[in-house]
Amino acid sequence: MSLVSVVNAVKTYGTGEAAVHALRGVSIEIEPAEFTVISGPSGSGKSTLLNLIGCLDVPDGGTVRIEGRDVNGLDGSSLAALRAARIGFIFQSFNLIPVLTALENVELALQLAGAPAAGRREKCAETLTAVGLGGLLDRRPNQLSGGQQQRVAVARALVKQPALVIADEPTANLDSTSGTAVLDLMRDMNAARGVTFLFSTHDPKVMERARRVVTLTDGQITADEFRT
Amino acid sequence: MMLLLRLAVRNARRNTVRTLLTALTVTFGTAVLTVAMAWITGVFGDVLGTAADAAGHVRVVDPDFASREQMNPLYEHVTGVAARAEAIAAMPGVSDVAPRIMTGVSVSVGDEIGEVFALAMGAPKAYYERRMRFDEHLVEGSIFPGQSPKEIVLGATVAKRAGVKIGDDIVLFGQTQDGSMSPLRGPLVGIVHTGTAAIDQGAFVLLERMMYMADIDDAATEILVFGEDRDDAPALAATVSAAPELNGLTVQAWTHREPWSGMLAIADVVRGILVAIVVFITALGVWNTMMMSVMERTSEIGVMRSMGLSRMGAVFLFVSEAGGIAVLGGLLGVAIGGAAARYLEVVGVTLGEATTAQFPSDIPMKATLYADMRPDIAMTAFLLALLMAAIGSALPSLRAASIAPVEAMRTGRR
Amino acid sequence: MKLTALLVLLTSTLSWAQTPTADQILAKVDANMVSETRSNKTKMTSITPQRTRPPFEMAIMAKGADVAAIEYIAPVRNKGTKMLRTGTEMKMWDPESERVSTISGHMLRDGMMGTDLSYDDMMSITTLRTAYTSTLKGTEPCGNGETCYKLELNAKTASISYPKRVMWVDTAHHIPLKQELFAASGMLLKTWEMSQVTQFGDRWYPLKMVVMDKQQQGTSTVLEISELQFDVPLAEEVFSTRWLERH
Repeated sequence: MSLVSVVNAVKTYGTGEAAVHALRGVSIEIEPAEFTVISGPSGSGKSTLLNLIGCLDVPDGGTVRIEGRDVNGLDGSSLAALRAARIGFIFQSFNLIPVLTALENVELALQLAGAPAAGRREKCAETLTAVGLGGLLDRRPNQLSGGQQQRVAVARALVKQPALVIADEPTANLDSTSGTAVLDLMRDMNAARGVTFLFSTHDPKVMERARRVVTLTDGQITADEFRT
Repeated sequence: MMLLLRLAVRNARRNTVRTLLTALTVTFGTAVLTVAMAWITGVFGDVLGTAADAAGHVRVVDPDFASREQMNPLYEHVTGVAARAEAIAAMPGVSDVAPRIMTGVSVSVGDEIGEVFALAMGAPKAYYERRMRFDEHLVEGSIFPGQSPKEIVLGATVAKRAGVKIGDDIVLFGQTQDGSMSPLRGPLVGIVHTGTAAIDQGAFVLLERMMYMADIDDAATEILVFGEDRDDAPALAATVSAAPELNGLTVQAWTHREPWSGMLAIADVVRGILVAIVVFITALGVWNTMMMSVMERTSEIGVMRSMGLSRMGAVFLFVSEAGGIAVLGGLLGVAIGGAAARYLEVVGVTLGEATTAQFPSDIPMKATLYADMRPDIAMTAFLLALLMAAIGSALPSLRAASIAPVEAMRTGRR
Repeated sequence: MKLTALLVLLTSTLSWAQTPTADQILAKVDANMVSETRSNKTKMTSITPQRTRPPFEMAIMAKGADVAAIEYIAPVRNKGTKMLRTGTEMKMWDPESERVSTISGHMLRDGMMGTDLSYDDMMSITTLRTAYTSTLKGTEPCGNGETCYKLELNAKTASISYPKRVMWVDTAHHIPLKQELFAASGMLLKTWEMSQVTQFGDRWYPLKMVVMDKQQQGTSTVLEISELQFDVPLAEEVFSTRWLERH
């Protein structure tokens, strides 16, 4: 069974002449442990596709299945529960909670996923150590560099051991060195833990490392290229 | 949950100026409420307390007297008063019983009647001492020293208008129950000044003398019953009305009698309106600052929503932040308001007797009014502070709850 | 034809001669009711829906229209109380206060001892012909089968107690057997009925009167007059303050 199965997904914003056809029938399967990039110019629909796969939104037509479950039939709280348990997010602008420490940011994700309190902190600390921030657990986001912040974000996405991590332009706000480091980190996690990564990006460095690159143009998949 | 709470607390400290502004809004609202409630309680409580002390915690009258009380019909009296009073005095919870008769009279020293009017009262000496507290208000002479059963005590206003002094033989011209002219002569033994217009315009004699004036034997228009606490009046009324000796008579707690039941209702309405206005305005202030916070943190909420934060979780986050601010603001408000109310409780506000004389005679208005700062007022004000926060943060919280998880993706893009 | 005209003229002249004017009737009423001096005892019983009171008994001496002295004989409570009316002033002595008090102004129009009569009603007599203009409104049966002139009286001055009266005066003795007393507004204040019309020398006088104050509900006051004497000499001293204070 595919981890993600999108069949003929359609998404339209607005109505009438102002309608924007973000997705015009997209079908894609993503298998466990993939390291996949969705690329395409701005407005090609890659964010919309990521939102659908990340269960942040539901399609107007077609189906989206996560581990076999059709998300179309789920209500808000079921979607929230599904996201909390199975999907991790990494954002372009890191989006850490500024008033929480690195450790707390990670812990919040675990708590929202419903993990028991016992052993939670240790697990978060381990994960942060694994992304190379072992000494910076009590730092607030504004006391960390961009690269460090994104590492926290990676830890936050990974700590709950999700089936899928969605990363939206994760390197766009980072300098080249930091970007590469974060990317290597994700690659390592993919290899070591078998976590599935799905990116949207323009960054050639990301595409270099991807095993599969899906290209979207005007809301349709125009290329789907596997690499070795 | 603990982490969310910690987050709420830290959020409150993010924008100290704004949080301070919100807290001070709550402080101001709470302080205003504290002072206002203490004032209303004090003023109404004072008036009502004096009224209840003078008018009986519970009163027994003929039903026809009750229905035509404004006319003060002396012929609608309760007969066999001595035996009935004795029966009532033996009931549980009764600490005092006083038969009473009141009627309008004119006071004269010379030979002209009809110049100085007074509200004449006939009651037992103990009633004047314990309930009217005449010993505290005595300006001159003494209270029914007992040299003669015909002794008369006058309110200061009446004494001044009639131009009488202690020792004068004065005549109260009243009427019998049939409307026959009925004078009552006696020596003036005491002058009282209470600051309450209705009492200062009174003339006071012993019950037997008033029975003579009204030409009613062993009867009185009212039997006043007192318990330990005037707040227990309704329960006392229930006890008293069950007595077989009082069959066919009307037994009422003071809280159910006009004008006080009306005044109690007015006090409640005034308090209610005031509380509603202050809570609303303060909530508006809270709403304003909380709304700014929600708008500012839209992406953050979106991120947490994408991580699985439920709508209720988002509501909790903001309500608890507002609640925390309200707790601090409310405590400060209660402290400031309580201090101000305490000042009004000790020093008071003086209206002057010219003002109080304009109140109807059955509302014993005092010349100086005091607040009454009670612990339950502080408690209520504090709870209302929380209510302000709850109302003020309701809309912003719902707004936060409605933020879609997808907002997380929309922000920060270049 | 001439005969008919003569007859008509004759009968109309006759009937004119038989029907007195309103003024003439009032003059005869006043001749009966107003006297130089008068002394009598009066028993005054007040009846209210609430209770029957013990009747008042009093000795009354009156001179002219507005001088009168009353001494109460019963009940015990009021025994010894004296009232003296001279003109518009009334003084009272009573055994409780043991002093003379002046009752003034509006109090004179209040109910006397809580009855339907005011002090004015009891202690002053209005010479109707002087105080009112009158109109004859025809004749009506009244009393116990008598025939009465119906008169409407309107006060000449506004300060009078009853600005308007309607009275039924019996044609035989010229006593107002029934009166309705009105306020200026036209509101009915009292009714006053007289009966037991008895002859005293050349005048007639009612020995029983029933007064009802229409401002009170269901009350009435009955006056029963006895030992009535007219135009007897009365000591001047009776109408002085000294008489009031003597007991």
